[in-house]
Amino acid sequence: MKILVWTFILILMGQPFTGRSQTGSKQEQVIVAQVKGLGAVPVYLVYGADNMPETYHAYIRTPICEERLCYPVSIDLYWDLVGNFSKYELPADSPLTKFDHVPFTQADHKKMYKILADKASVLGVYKTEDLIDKNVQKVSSVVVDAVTGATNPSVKNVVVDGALYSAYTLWHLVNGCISTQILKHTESMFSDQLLISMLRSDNYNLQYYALNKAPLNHNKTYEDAIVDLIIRGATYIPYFAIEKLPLRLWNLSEYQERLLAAIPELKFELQNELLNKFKDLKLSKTALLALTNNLGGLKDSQILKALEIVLNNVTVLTSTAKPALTKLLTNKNEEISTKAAHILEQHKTN
Amino acid sequence: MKTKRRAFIKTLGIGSGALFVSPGASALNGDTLEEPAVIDEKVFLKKEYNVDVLVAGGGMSGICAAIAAARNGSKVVLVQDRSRLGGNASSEIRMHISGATTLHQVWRETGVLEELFLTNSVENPQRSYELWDFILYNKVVSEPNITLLLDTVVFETEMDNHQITKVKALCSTTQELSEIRAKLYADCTGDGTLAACAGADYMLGREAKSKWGESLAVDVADNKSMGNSILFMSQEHKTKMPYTPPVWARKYTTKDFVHRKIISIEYGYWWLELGGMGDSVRDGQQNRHDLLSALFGVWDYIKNSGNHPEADNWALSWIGMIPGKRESRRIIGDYILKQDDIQKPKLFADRVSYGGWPIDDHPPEGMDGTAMEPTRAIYIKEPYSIPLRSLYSRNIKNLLMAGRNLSASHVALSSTRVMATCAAMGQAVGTAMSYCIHNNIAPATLGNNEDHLKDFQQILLRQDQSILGVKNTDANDFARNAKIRASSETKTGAALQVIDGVNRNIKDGSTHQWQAEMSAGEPWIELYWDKSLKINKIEMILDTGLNRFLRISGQDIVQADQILGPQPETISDYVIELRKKNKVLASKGSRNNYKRRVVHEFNPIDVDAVRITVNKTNGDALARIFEIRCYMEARTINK
Repeated sequence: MKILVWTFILILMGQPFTGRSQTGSKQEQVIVAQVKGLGAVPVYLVYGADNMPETYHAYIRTPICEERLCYPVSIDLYWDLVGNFSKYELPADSPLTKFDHVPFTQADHKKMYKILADKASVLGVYKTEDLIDKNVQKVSSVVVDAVTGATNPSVKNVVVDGALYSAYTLWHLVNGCISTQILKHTESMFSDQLLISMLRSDNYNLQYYALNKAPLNHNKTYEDAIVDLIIRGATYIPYFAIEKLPLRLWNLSEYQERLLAAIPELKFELQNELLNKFKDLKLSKTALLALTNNLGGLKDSQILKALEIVLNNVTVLTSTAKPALTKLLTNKNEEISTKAAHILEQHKTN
Repeated sequence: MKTKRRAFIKTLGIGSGALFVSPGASALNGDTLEEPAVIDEKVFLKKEYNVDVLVAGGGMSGICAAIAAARNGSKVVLVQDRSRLGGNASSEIRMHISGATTLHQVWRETGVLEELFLTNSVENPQRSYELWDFILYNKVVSEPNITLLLDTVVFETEMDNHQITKVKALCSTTQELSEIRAKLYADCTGDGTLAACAGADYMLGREAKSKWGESLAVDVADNKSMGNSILFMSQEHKTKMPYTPPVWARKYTTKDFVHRKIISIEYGYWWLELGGMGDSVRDGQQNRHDLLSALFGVWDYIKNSGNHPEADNWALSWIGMIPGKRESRRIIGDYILKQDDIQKPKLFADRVSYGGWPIDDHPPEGMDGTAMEPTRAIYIKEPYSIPLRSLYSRNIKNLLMAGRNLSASHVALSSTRVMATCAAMGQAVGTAMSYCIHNNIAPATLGNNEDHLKDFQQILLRQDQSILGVKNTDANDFARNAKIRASSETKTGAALQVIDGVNRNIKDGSTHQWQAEMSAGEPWIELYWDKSLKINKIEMILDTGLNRFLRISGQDIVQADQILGPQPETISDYVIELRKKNKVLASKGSRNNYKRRVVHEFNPIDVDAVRITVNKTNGDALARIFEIRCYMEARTINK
């Protein structure tokens, strides 16, 4: 039986160089990573429907031992283009289990995803024996003489309880040499097309990476993509994109209009960031109109910021903008109504 | 890195009384040096001190060192370069006193620091930082053995054969030039100033991984360090409070706070940090200005970005002007504490205190690198011991040190640097100095002699020092041979535990304390002997809730999980009776006690029993006593 199992393992490890992945997308072997304890592990670059590189994939078969309680794990690991953990897939008959063969729950998987995605996890720093509380021992009810230490309280948050070695082993597989080699490989494939596809992706890590690499060489596709990231970037990406965009682009009417028109759909802090940014800029006629047309839904403090911008640009205020400002004359907030009146006054005299 | 300054100057033949050398002189060119300038002694009057111990630096380390040395019988001069004591913990900087409590187990530091915390908790419920300064001041000036020199700056040493013979310090406000001769000297300056003056070996910057195999060290050694921080406080008002920053304030946007969450605004942020890229000793003036620029930039962001509308009615009320330092010189001892000692605690034979903070290394960029996390805290699972060999200089024979300038690698320092750990080091060093003077041995002898160490550790334990793995084996403690009975005890609080040698919860499953229900009436515990004996001193260690935080803070959430005032577990009113044949021969008591360690002295009496009756606690339903000790002491050299 053992021989059969090991033969099967060897066959599985010798996957073809190119071909189709299980989902049918094109994939090719691009890396052979030498992984401690496993030997040569082929890593595949999987292409998306648009024939652009999408994800990296490796199939790993490794024993995981929670102390002397061992079980074989077969797992398909996926990374994004810069070597961050993306997801894993497990065969139904070979689940991840905790100590004493207790299978992972959904919550456990969720936690494991979080652990594997954390490149700064202490799992990268500690050795396994440092993570065990030797004073507490758990005895297996399934296997004779199998004992493991309890997870140390101080690291409980960074492992799945009872699956210390699974977390440790998988973390090192995901974030070790394979990850480094993936990034290296992606960098060897750099093209404008690839970078722009990363900017346009939905992945925070890809957006951040590409934002730092994107050249500002008057290439309109890049400029467009960066402005786009201000509007649709994940979490903090918009703020880095704002910092990246050079002043000459903030002065372009097309971009001013696009950003100001997008304000209603943006998060509170991002709205503030843009309003602060535009405070000292000269707006075009159409941009100013985009601003005045989108004051609805803004908080009082934000309306005041917007009015300050309008005041600074009152010379390009058109009559089309007047209704929005007139509406503010009856605003409950006296500061707002006064300011709106002042602007309309200034507009009349211009 | 060895400083050769002392030898260099000796070679040139300049007397060590020189303060200034004329700028034009250069001995390297073979020019003869002009006559060096000295301090005008008509204006700065010389004052001489001849004492047992000089402690340079009046932060938490120095305060605890001075008090410990004084209480152990040494005559002490404590020199502090500010008007207020406390250093990074004083009202001038306001950094939190952190330590092993962060483990959320049972390890809050005891000894002198605990005494300071308890006193502050009771006497300063208003959480005034300036009052905290005075609690520190009061504790120090209440020690008759301490001469406190405030606003006094150490600037020079005189040496003889690798020993300090004299330290010179200047006070501009009183225009005194103090010359202090002592048998032993403690550098608690934080910057290792005294050590540098004396030519002690020290380290600066960050060591490479390859040096000691520290996995958390940098790949390539460099001169960078953790940075300094400045804090602020603000107050809420009834109306909107506008804010205009100075023109030189930095401009921050939301991207700068990706890793720096602003969750409260009444107190500043430890991550408001700069200076790690430069020289943490020399760049002080520029660093202060840079930090202020960053501080006002952050406040400007809070007030004017629009992202913190909750701050509309808030205004700055206090700004620190002294950067709180994390790292500068590290004086080299007989042992260099390293990463492994923090993560895999060892019970060193010469262990004298402990730490419990994570390995908390900050990138040197600080606020210049807001895209980076401001720290990478690697939590540890239990407290670790600090050996005495890391607390005295390896080449200056009569110099010890405590605080962030101890003998440790950069990585280890990132854990030991916090002030509760420093305070415990201070107590160890102060007690060690007295012990060495009393026994006429050098610090290095104490650090390497097992017999001396065992005696010394017993003294530390008796004085409630934060120390691991030491049990009471004091042959002079009559309580250890006593039989015990009590009016009652709980299931986990057997009366016998008051003499089990352990004076706190050490997470080994035992409470190590006598517990008795107050509801059943006033419980009592009695130590008794078959043969009568003379006793003149009773000491007790009580419970003060060492699992909780107890420290002053300007931040509301830090204050939130603390109990102000006396800790409820602490016995408040009690009576100690010395008895013979059931007759009370003498009694002493206490009311409104809040201290952890209490000492009562009597005239020597022949007794066969000592009974302690608990009249009241500070709220707890149980009377709790960790330890009782009974002594007959000829002289009170070790209190």
